Amino acid sequence: MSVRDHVKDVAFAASIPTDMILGTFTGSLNVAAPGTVATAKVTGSVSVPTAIPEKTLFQGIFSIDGGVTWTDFNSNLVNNTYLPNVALQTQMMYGTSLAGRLVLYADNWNIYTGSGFVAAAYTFQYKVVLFRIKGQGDVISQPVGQRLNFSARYNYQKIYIDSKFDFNFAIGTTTAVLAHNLGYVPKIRSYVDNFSFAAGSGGDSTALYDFGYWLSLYNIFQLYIDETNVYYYIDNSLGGSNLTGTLYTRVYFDS
Amino acid sequence: MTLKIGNLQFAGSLGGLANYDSVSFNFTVTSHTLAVGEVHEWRSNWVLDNTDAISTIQISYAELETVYRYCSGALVLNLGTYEIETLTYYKDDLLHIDTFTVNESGGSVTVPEFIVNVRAFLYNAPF
Repeated sequence: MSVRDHVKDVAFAASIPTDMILGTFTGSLNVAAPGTVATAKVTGSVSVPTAIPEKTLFQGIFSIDGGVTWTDFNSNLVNNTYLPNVALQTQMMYGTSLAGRLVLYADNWNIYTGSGFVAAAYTFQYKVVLFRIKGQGDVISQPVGQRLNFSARYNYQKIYIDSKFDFNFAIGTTTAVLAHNLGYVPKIRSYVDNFSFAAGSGGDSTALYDFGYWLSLYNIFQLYIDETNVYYYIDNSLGGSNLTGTLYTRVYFDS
Repeated sequence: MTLKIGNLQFAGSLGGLANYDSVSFNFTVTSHTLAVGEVHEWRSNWVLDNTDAISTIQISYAELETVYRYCSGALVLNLGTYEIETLTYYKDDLLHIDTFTVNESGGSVTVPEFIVNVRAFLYNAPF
């Protein structure tokens, strides 16, 4: 009998790996107002030293109202002020992980009112948590905001599969499959590293991104899950070359 | 202190992401016709306070498919003659879901009824 056979009865077990938080980072960056011509955007960025010599996984949240409300990275705050015109691209933060640093970006778009465009400068506050990547080497863990980093009272997410695979998708459509066979739809996280697509899209092809960032921008990428598998669908039909990179996917037990 | 993370299954000094809260809800997008270039919007929200928490969200379009899609901010799904775009964001202690159907064809398109199923999970981070 294994503890993994009775995961739902277990709040914590040292034999079941967790994400291992390596540090948290908070700060802010100011982004100027974009112009008032059609679809104008200003992107600000900040490089945050992590003192961790390798890339790590991460998740972040941001606020543009002084910390009153927080939104996940890769989310835009939909603006319905000027109905029937709905602004879908407004303010958003996203990030990349590189050796020794995070590079965080903040997009600030103007908004169409129906008769013109309005724009404003914003101070983006951010909070980012770093956690270990598969194959993480030696690290010096960084400070976290709260005094206790671990408590056996908490039901930490329990990792079932910690997958890393290098891909080389040819021109055309590809569906890659990661089997989990859990019998239910599990929670997952997915990241892509050294993604060749980033270079042609104004991104950094040497950095690690939340794969959700690319899902949110392009309909040629899909990531979906059922009771048996995790599926990655890539439509590289219009690409001039193969798509390469490394996918990290973490599949969690449901309890 | 330097930790050899690669050799560790567990370390008492390194916590994980603690399960904190979750919601599961859905709303119906009724069958409708889109004229050329037309977009329809459908909105829903649910109480979910994400203060000092990070989240993962999964979206399923029932009646069109049986899978759940990993969603980080936005999903764009191309179904040939139309697209379904879903945006997720937190505001005022609510999780907001905005789903749009977009005509991608050169003529009018009838979008069948489907249900937007939302699963959202919050995790405490030691910010």
